[in-house]
Amino acid sequence: MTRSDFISGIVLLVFGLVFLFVLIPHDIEAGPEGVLPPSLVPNLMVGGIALLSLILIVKNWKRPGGQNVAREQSPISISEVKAVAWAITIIGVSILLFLWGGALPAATLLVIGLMLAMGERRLLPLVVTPVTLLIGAYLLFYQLLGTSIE
Amino acid sequence: MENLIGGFQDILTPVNIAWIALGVTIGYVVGVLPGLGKGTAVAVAIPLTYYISPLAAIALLIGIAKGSTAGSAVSAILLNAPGEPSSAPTALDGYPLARQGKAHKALKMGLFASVIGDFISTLVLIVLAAPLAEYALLIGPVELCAILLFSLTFIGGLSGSSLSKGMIAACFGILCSTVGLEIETAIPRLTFGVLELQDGLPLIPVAIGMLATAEMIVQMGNHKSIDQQTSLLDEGNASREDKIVLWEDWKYCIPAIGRGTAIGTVVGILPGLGASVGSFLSYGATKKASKRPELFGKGAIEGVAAAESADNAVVPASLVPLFAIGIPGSVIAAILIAAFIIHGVTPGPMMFVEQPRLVYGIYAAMICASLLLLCIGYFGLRFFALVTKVPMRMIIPVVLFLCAIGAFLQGDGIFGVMVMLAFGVIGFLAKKLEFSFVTFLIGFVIGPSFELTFRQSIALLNRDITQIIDRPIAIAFIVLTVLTIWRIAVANGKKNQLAQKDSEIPKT
Repeated sequence: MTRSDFISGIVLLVFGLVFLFVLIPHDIEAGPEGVLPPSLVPNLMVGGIALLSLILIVKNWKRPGGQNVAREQSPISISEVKAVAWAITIIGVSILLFLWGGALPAATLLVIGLMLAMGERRLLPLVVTPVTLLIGAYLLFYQLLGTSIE
Repeated sequence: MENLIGGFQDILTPVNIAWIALGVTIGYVVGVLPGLGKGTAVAVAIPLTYYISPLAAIALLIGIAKGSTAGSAVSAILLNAPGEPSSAPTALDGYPLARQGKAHKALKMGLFASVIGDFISTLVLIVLAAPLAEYALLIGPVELCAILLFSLTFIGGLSGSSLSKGMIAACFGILCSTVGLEIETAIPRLTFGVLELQDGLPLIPVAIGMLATAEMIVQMGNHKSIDQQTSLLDEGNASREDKIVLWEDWKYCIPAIGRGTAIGTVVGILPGLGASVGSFLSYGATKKASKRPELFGKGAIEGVAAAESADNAVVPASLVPLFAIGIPGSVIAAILIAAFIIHGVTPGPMMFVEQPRLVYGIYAAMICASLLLLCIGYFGLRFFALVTKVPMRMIIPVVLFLCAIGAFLQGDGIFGVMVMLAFGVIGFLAKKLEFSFVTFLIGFVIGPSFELTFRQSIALLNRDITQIIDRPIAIAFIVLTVLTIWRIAVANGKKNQLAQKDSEIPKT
């Protein structure tokens, strides 16, 4: 049991309660009379999430104030946080580029951006990898499988 | 038997054999790469199958799953970096063997054990699934709802570090499956005005996000240490005896492979336990039964055989619940459901009634894949060993590019890529915080069946729970569910107490 369990329990409890009392009543209409409400299973599931999160919080209640907390390492390292940020940024910008300019610039940015983010600085791989991938994808999807990415 | 011969007739065409061979090769290459598992490989490959026949498509995906399971041993042995967690016990003895200059011997034994475990487990699937499916056809919605509830509890309890976290993952999976138009009233649920969500969250982008994208993000954060291990790879100058598997090695390994295959098959049939449990159990059992346990961890070849046979036996066996009752027992089975649905096949007992020829074609494909695994693995060993040297900064962008294409093709265009990214981040958090993403995915896949049978059960029981007394199978599974929760909660409680005691002991 760790502090991360305690914190994730709180986050999930809030998530469950917000869904249960705000989002589900607001977003899901009541069904016709005599029919089981469409919100039945979503309500049961978020109710379950809220209850189980509460159990998670209670089980880890003592730990945050305990002696060993300071020694507990975060389950997510700084380099992983950076990786998440890079992935969201590069894929997100690629999506925008796709909407604005199509598949070619988006795919090029996706591959080159990720390679640069991971420390690749050599010109040859930075050119050869996206070119090979794009030609390969073109041959596979447009020519061999007969579909298109547009 | 007639059906099986028919199945072989269908699969033994140059085109289908080529698809299986391609699948095994792709799977092997992906499995060899540290951190890339069979789930990632199969999820990313699904878009390639849209335009081929259902049998060839399933054969390709099964080839990938089998190839990547066997391939993950290569990086475990050469780099001490398992392709996936289930190959971790392989590294315990495989890596020391490689350091002693016996890498080729370990790689070959790993391959032989993989093929034997996989082949026997495939035969078990063929023998067991059809009779079980006949029983499954006799059960109604109330019983099926109870079985689904039991399966989810069992999977949630055993596939993660804590029962509560496993059950949260299951609930979250079912919650996500309710997004879209409700089946009875066509009222939109949790769409928040987004038109694309009315059809629900697309399965393939969700699976690619949770498995492949999340794993790639994790690897992005740790790629430097993996590349460092790769750079240390040295094949050394080994003698011929150190490169081949001798009769003396077989004497130690045959019992280990038999034990590993049996353990892996049983673990595979039980939903949710997964290949890691199988390979660790098999490794532990072989060490316990060994006459030279002191060698384990230092280069015992039977350790490699035990882990690999169990690891590979899990994959075919995990398809037993999928084929017999339509419940995915593993992440591979969950992804295969998506492939089945894309190709117009509903996995479960009705497959044996409606499309027996296809089912036996799949069996034949699985047997062919086992044999091709041996050939491709054996003759391609040198090439696959070279793949481990490709740096992660080249691999990750390529895999993420393929992920994006897969999500795009099956996820309503660019919306699929957005879903993939969102679930990639959720999957990353789930992995790091130890919420079982396997349970989430299985909950997401069986969510619609669960909701449907739950609603049908309420109607059949006239909204009166006491009427369940007339349904002994449903009662049995509800009792099993309660017992599972109780048993796992007690076991976890003891584990936590021990862990707390350990942490309280002052370190000197």
